[in-house]
Amino acid sequence: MHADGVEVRTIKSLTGEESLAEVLYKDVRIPLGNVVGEMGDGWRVAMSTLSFERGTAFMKHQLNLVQDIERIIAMAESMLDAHDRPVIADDAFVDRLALARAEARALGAMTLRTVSRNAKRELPGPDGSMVRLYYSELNQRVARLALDIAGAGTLDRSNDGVSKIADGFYKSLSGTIAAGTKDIQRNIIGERLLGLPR
Amino acid sequence: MDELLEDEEQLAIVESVSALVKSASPVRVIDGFLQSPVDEALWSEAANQGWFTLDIPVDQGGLGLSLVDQTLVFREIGRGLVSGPFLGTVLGSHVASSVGDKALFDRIGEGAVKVALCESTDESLDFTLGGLIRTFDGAATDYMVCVGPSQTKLFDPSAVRIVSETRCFDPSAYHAEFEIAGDALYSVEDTTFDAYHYSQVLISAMLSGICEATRDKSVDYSKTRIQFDVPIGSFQAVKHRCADQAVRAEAVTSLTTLAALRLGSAVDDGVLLAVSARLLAASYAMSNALDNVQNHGAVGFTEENDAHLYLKRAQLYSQMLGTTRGLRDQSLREHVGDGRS
Repeated sequence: MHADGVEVRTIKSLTGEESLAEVLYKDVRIPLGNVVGEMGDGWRVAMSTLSFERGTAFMKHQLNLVQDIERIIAMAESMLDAHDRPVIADDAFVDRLALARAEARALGAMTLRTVSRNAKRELPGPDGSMVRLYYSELNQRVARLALDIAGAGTLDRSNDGVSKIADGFYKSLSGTIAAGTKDIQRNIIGERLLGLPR
Repeated sequence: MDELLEDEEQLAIVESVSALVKSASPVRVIDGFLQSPVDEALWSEAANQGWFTLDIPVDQGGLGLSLVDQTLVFREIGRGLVSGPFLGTVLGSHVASSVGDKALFDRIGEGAVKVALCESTDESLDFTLGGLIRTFDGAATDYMVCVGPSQTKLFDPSAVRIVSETRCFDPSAYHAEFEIAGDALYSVEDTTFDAYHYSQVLISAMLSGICEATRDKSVDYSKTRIQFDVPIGSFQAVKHRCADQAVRAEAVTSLTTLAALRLGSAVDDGVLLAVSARLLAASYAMSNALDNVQNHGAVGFTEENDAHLYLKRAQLYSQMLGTTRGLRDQSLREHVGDGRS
């Protein structure tokens, strides 16, 4: 990445962070010894890297989601609404919390099943896309649930505690774009797992 | 680590149960009703395979397998739209085993006795005189097992009075309401056998079978149904619905297996997992069944196609032993409190 001709331009994301970059290559020469895989085989190498990213790279985040839900339930218990009732007394939130709690547990179970499958093969299979898709969409639902429970305080940038919730929500939006959009993940599940025609 | 993939022995269970279910006569629905609520040949073969005593310890006369293994049987029941009081009869076998009624246990095991699954329809969850109960297994079974959150009771039909009998949209469901008019034969506390959460896991397993079957029916149809000269499965609108069905099926099967593993172990989140599995399974099975109707287009709206049978069965299982509202409150009980209206 430090070779002559490689230019890295950082890009500010919608969260305000400079966590993205575009990389430009101008007449860059790389020693042959640095080639990953074979010359002209870059697509396959990139795809196998991606299969890890879709498969197990997010395992920690997937399992953390169980704790995230428990924290949001605790928040809904302690926060009071305009009538001084705990937010969790609201039926609509009970609905969403109970389902999200079940979904986070299901995600954890799906992750364990994928780990078991991966133990029996060299590369993660297309079923990793099911976990990736489920995680990224569930993570967004959970982040939005926290946002709705926390209320107007999340608008305030100076409010450190609650504005973290808004930040987490904004960050969650990348999940259905990175490592192949959610539409690409559905194509992979449909074509490579279910055998549907392209 | 929890092992959630089937091992070879478990795959063999799935294979033999699935072969039996497939060999049974196809579901015959005439004017919206089954010819008979139970396929007797299938019932006695199921007994031969040990469905009713599968997870009872060997020293008590059972096969000594696990609750996870039992979910494999019930997943096939859901997948094959098998009709009959299988869950109630398995519960009856556990009750007979718990109280040491060897004669009853043996008769259940050999398929000679059918037990209807009953639940309270009023607030009396202890199933005492005057209490109202209902079943979807009809009024003609040999015994009735009443399942509540803290205790389970087994009744002889002579101890109940029929209040009403009605038919349901699901052709296999025979709805009957009873008033309790006598004493129970046996009563088992949840500390001895937690029938309520055990049942939630097996209902989830039947719903996971529906999730998988509707996924597979949709995929098969999308591969062969041609429109604009191509299979409809090549259209993203259809392909992506199938992908969502696959993800839901994977979620429900994984969570149900984890719940079965934990409920039968010393880890204390088994109850939460059982309730969560049931909540998720009911929601996802309905979604998968609805998508399956949609994926079949006009054919999916006909009585001839079985898409509606999966939908109606998913509805039926979703109402057994607790509604979505009740389960969701149980999931958050310690946080919300019991007294919330």
